[in-house]
Amino acid sequence: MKAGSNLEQVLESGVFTVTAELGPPKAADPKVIIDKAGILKDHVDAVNITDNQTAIARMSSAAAARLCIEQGLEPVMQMTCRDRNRLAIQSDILGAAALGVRNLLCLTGDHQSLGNHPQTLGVFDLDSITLIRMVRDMRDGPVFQNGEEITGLAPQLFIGAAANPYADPFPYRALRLAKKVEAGIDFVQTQIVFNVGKFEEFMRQCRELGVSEHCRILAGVAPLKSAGMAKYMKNRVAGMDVPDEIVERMSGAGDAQDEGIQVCVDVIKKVREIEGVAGVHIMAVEWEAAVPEIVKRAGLRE
Amino acid sequence: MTENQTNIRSFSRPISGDELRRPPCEAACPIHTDAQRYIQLVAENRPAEALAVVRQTNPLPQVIGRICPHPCEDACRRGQVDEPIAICNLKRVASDGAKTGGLGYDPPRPDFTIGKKVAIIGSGPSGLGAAHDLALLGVRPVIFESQSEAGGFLRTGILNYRLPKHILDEDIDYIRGMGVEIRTGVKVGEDIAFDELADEYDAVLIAVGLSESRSLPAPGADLPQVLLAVPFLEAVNAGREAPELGKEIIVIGGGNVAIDAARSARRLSGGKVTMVCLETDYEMPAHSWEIEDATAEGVSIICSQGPNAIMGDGKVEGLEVKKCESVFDEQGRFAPRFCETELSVVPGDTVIIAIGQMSNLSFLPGSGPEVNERGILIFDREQCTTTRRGVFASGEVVTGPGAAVNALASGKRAAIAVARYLGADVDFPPEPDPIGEVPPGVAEKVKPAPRRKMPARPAGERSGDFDEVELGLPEVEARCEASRCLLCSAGARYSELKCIACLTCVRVCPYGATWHDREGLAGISPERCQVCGICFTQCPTKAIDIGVKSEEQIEAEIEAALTGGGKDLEFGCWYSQARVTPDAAAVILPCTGRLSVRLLLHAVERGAERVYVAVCSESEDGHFIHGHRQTRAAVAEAKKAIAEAGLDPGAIEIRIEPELKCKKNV
Amino acid sequence: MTDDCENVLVAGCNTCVAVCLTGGEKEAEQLAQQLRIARRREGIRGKVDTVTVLRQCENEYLDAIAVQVEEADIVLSTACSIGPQGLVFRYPRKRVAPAMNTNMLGYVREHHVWTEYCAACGSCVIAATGGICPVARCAKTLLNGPCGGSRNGRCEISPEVPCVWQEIYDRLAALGDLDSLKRIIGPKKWNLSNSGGPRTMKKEGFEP
Repeated sequence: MKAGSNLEQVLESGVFTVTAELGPPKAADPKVIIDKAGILKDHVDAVNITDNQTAIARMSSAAAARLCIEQGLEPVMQMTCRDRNRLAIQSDILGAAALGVRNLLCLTGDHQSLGNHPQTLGVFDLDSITLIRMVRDMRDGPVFQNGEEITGLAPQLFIGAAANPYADPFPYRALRLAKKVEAGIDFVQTQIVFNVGKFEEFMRQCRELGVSEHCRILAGVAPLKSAGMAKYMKNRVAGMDVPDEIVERMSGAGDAQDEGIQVCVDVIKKVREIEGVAGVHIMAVEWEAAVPEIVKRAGLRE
Repeated sequence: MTENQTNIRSFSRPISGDELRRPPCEAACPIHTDAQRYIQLVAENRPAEALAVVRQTNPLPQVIGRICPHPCEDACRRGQVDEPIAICNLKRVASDGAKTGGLGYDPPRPDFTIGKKVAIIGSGPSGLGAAHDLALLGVRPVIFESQSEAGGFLRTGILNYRLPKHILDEDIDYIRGMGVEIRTGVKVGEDIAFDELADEYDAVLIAVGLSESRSLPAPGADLPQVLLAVPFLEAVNAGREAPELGKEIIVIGGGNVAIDAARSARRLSGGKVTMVCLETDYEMPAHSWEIEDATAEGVSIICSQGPNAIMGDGKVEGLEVKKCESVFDEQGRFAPRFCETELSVVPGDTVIIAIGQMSNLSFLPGSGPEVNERGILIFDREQCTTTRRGVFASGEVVTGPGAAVNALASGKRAAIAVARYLGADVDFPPEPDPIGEVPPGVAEKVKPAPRRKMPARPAGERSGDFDEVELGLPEVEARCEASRCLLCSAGARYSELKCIACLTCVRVCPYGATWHDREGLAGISPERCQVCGICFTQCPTKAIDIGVKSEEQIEAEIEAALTGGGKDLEFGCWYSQARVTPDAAAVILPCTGRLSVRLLLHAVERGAERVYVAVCSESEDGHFIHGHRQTRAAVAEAKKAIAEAGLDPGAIEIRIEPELKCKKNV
Repeated sequence: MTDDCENVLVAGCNTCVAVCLTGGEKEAEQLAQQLRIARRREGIRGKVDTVTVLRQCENEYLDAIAVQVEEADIVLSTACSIGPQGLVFRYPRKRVAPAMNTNMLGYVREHHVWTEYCAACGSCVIAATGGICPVARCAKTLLNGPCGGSRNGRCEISPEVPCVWQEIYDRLAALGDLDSLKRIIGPKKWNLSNSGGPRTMKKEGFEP
């Protein structure tokens, strides 16, 4: 065991793993976290706490992660390179570890121009790969980024990263994940899979490169709420690939929300069959209530 | 580092260009008239100023504007695109327009500061030209003319239908108005001895021209119905009783005098007129347009025939001719070869001989100046001197037959020679160095525009009288014609000191006129430049200016337009003659693509409340490629600038001229 | 800013900013015209003149305009921000203001279009990235490949912006050198950029 987190244990046990996402509020109210955790905690193995997702200022992921822990739900704290330099990141990691966080997802972060403070300075002192390497060294060195030894308790973290099989250049995507593995990740959560065929190809490349041997891969999935949302994600969201047949399914549905859940379940069933897929990461943004239903219909919790 | 070194590229310096290269029309003109400049002024409908430009080099603007064989047009680079500019016709427009505009012109009254006087024998174009220029150089000229009126061959040899007498009078009166005395009816050698003149005057200029016709050494030449062209034309011109002409007139000769004799004979007799000449039709020395006019009026021409004998017994019955096999030898010298056996007869009852002219130098005393064995004055072409000190010569008497403008040029050169001899501080001007031909690929980019034709009275009407044939180009036509000018060598020029080799001009020039090489050196090809001005508007260091309508010139025009009290200013285009606001003061540019933001702001700064910019279409291109794109970009930037300065951006506005005169006439 | 000044001097610079059509003699004169128009409208007395030197980043050129600068109540420099600061250094008691925003170090990919190519970061990486700089040209200054926002060769921040990592990838693929993209480029030494404080470069052996 590297960090001894629940997520690590579940993944290492070989059980098909389920994670979900929990977005902190744009406010200081802990109740939002507590309520969402209540919805999710019996249905997933861990939950991602996003870090100023889409460059919008929210409650800090470390604080929200601690609130989650208090509710008995294991957090995967997300950490981006956009808002902090290496000093701030290391101090937040030490703090979060001290508060009980055991999983850390290392991200570059969406560009600040897409968020609600487009005039801010993007830090990007590190990128996701140098961040991963730094966190691994803090855990295994244990050293700070500058090589200085961590003489007390080192942060024990199960290190994750994101991968997007739908971004370009496609042939580089598996290579980039391999680079993250080399940098030190233990698991990866992918961008939302709608186009299963392309994801299968990505997985094939990952297997060839030995990625799936060295890190656990969770396929990202998400329920669509409406045909409009399907179209929006298809056309407007960078790095998303929504096939026409799914847009059509959503358009033709009587109960769009129910159909969206069913689409998600169908995707889960398919990706589960792919060699090397260790679990799913359900991204029901601001629709946490859908997660239990998806888990149930997909038969992820007996 | 001295201050000078650090300053060297810091401050504005004059734009140096290819200043010595000149338009080919100017170089080809014997008197090097700045045709381009007066053409521009005609394009802007400023005839009085145009005439002033003509007058800078040409003392006989109205005369030359009618009868010049215009070698300038042969050199005109527009001819390499489609047809040359009608330069000669536009010269006439300048003087005609200056008169109809009521803008009379007063001759200058030079002071004869040199305190010397010159006797000029002959008041033809050479003598008049010399007198005019001598007066300006401070020498007092006195012309001696044997005829009762001044003008020489212009008066006696050129017919009213080509050069109306009152036009000639006006040009001569102008020269008289400068203080030039013309003593008419004074025959040197008879009324006053040459030596007397030489004693009384500080110098003498012989400019007597070729006043006598050569006769034909052939049987029958002494018959009474055989006339010589020069006295014939003299009599016609003088309005003296017309010589008795028959109904079938034969004119011998193929030159311009022969043409004039034939056209006059046609007018006087109303009968059949036939020209007989040695040359083939394409070899004839007469100008092609003169031949066209003559044939249009009913004159027929028999080529490649030489006169053998004038037939008739006491009365002309015809001309026996022999086949002329060739006129020139291999060296191009006049050496006609005939087939003596191939004879034929051209029937006729009158013969006019127009086979050449010679001078009459019988007035010269034995003491010189000397003539050579062929009876021609011995003459130094450079210094215009004869073998006698203080005696100079000019015009056809020394150059041989040629156009009036050549005689004028010769007289003008003699004026300088005489003035130098008399102590004036003046030099012979350098010969202009013309720019080269329109390069391949550029001609295709020039907007097509046909040459405007000179309106003339119909041949049927005019062949019965001696009134002027050509009517003059109307204003709009003249402006269209003038705006065809390629403005050779007057385009972009740059200062090497200010150029930073930024390549902006290289990138924007639609004609590839700006170039740079790998060493970072840049330059502008005057041959390729079409004077669109886009590089000028873009150059970030103000290293480029344009020869025609420099920035300084346009600024001055803006200021002049606004001092009239007007608050609106229009930038118009001389190609389209576009005017979008008839009431606003206007600055006319060769396409408003020339406008820089700086010039637009200058207008606002100088008090224009509204600035209108005329364009002729919605297209990206105006007269020049990308011209309108540039206009729109400059206007947009200027609007933004005045908006930032707190003014209404609507104060600067592009308007499309609804009616395009230049296109309507195409 | 110039309202309380009687004499305004607009100082142009005829090198880099002239080449990029932002602050050469032409632009300086246009600015002066614009100011004169605005000041006349507001009834402000005084004059607005221009002077342009070859380079405002060197003492000798700034010294050459001493007379004009001394006469002015304020100098507006159309040079890059080095110009106004040079004027401040040379004329310590003179009010100086920038008349132009200095954007970037760019390349002229096509006429009238300048593209940022260098961030002057002080530790050049392009030998490892196919000769194309991700520090200047990636919105996130990524050193280890494209983020998940790269789509059809475009950056996630705007479809107008090309993804430099796509360009790097394509170039290395064409060169048959994709392996170099597998190597991790370690955390950047930002202390060599202006993060490390103002930088000074000296030519060894020629210090004053």
